[in-house]
Amino acid sequence: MNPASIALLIVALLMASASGEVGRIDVILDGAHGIPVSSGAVIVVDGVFEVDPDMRLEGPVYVVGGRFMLEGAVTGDVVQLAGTVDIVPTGAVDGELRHIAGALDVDPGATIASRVELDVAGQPSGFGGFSSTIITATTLAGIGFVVVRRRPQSVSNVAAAAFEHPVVTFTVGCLVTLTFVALFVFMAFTLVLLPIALIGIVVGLITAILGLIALGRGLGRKLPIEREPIAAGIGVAAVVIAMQLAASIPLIGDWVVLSTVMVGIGAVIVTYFGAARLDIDALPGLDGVAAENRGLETGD
Amino acid sequence: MNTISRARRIASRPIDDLHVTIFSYTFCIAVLTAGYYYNLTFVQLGLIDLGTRVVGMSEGAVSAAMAGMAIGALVSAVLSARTIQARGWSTDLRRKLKIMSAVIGCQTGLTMVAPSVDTPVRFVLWVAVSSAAIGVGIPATFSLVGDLIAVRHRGAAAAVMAGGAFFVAALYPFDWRLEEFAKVMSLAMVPAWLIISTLAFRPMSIVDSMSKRHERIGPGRFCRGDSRQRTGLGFGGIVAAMFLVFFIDSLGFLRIIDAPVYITTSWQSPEIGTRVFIAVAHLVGAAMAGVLYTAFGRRWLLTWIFGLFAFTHLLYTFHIRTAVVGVDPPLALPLFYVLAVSFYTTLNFAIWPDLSDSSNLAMRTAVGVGVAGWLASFLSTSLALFSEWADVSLLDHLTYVNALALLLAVGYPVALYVRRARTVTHLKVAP
Repeated sequence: MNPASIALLIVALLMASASGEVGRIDVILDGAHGIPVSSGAVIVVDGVFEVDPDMRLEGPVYVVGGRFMLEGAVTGDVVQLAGTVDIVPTGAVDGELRHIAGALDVDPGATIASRVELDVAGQPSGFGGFSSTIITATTLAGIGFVVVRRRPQSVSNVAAAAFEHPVVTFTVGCLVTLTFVALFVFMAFTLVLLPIALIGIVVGLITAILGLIALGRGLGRKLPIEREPIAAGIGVAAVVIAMQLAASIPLIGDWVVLSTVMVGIGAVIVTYFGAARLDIDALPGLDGVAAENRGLETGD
Repeated sequence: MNTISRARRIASRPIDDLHVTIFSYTFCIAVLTAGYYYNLTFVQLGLIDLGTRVVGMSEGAVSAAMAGMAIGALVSAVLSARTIQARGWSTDLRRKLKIMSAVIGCQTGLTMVAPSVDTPVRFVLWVAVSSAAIGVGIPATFSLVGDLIAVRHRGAAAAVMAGGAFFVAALYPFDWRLEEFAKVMSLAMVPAWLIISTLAFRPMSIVDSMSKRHERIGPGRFCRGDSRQRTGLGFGGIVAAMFLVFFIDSLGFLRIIDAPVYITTSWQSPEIGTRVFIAVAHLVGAAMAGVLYTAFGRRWLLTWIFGLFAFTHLLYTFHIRTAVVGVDPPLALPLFYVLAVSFYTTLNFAIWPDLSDSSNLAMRTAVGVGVAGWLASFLSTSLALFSEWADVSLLDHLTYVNALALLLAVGYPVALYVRRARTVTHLKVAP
């Protein structure tokens, strides 16, 4: 399950519970599955979910990843937020088929009562993909410019933590992200705590953006530009473009991007969102006695 | 023969500082990693198998023997530490090596005869001798970190020890049966005993150089400068906190591994990929703990440990309540467990030497490891076996563990906050 699937799962849970008509929700996380014994909503996060011919599922069905193969019928809606949906000639959707993102293949012979196309993601390739990167980089550079102008010291503290202690910030970033993402998914499954989970995801996103801005600010300082907000903005754009380029490298690309984001998140956390500098005591090495005699004090 | 004499010549040469450092670190990490692997596999899992399956004792009787073993190991550790300190052996590396040689020799013999233990009386006798030997070995082995590893490197060294022991234990042996454990251990312990005995009893310049390192390293991290006055109280608090950590872990784990749905999809999975995932997660968790310990210290790490245990048990109890028959539990369950365990094990290796100086190193490691590690683990192990014997359901059992873990996850930060508030108030009142 990737981070995008986790966010979409929470959105799907919110949509399913908001309708007020769903008594039970089944979530497909892995493997191949048929219609569950009890009727209700189904969220496909990963794996394959199949509705065989002559079978009828009450629904609704939310696809946020994996694959949904419809050979039978769904009484309710089918909402596709990501992943793959295949509807064969025998397939039927009595409700609405809403395609928001992901790969959709509907056979002309299939019976669809109502269909809404809202392909927000499109197919980012070639110039489309490049322009999307430029838009993202420009937007974040603009945010970086404003944040550095208003809170220069906070961003400076985060940047210092990221550049001076990358291992520590990376570790904290990984640990906090792993734990809190799991915690938010867990909260989302309780349905009652769904709003908290959503707030958590938004705060996480803000943290990641602030981390990227700090990294951009650190990079911008190395540029021969006097005005810090402008240098930071250019630095942020450079970081975003570099991450996009790195992501295209096979095998290690995604890890490089993820590590960069983790360093940024960790730096934001350990500096209390830039409120304090991260000062780590230098611990004594082999000549610890000599260090103590010189007055080096350590402790937490 | 030629090779042996060449090795002797090399060993007796004067050696430079870097070589001493490399050998000291390698030796200390190897001893503690191997010792912990033995504890994780043979003692914690093999002994239960020996008592219940091989000897045919009830779980209640085995739990009583395990509790006896814990108390025996603690008493033996404290007596051993007292002797070490009274005779001035605290900083005598060669003396510690001799103690380790005797302990490993005894444990090797015990390990070899374990599969032939067939009556409850022999089992209890085996447990009594083993607990005494293990107790004697605790202050000698755990204090090696204080003697040989610089304060700056203790977090990393502890991470290698914890990660290494768990990594190997997760992958080998595949079958958690006494016979398998005994076979693996006997093969590994004989050469280890020979090496340690050689280092202990033969004059070697490298051992002499290693013996002097403690003079340069100095006291532990939390025993320096102004911290010196506070460590008495701080030590008691850390012992209590670590006792609770070990207690929660064993109390939950022993019941989880008895549930086929959880054990066959994680630690005892037939899929090698799952086992490798767990082994690697141990390495990653230990590395994270090493970094956090070095950068932030013990309180940060303890807060994370309590939080991770609370969350892990919450996940397990939630899964038991909502699980669908035939669907494997997600790997997130063992993942968080593994992280919590790797975190506290790393802390356990580094914290006791860092709370000690040469005058109290043996006693503090004995009390710390004895009370927090052995007493807590075996008391909770015996309690877990008792709960199984008393037919307490897995859900009920884990709910109790979860309640304790949640209490500590909330209570520990609150206690730290109150302590900090009192310090601040005191500073304001003081002239």
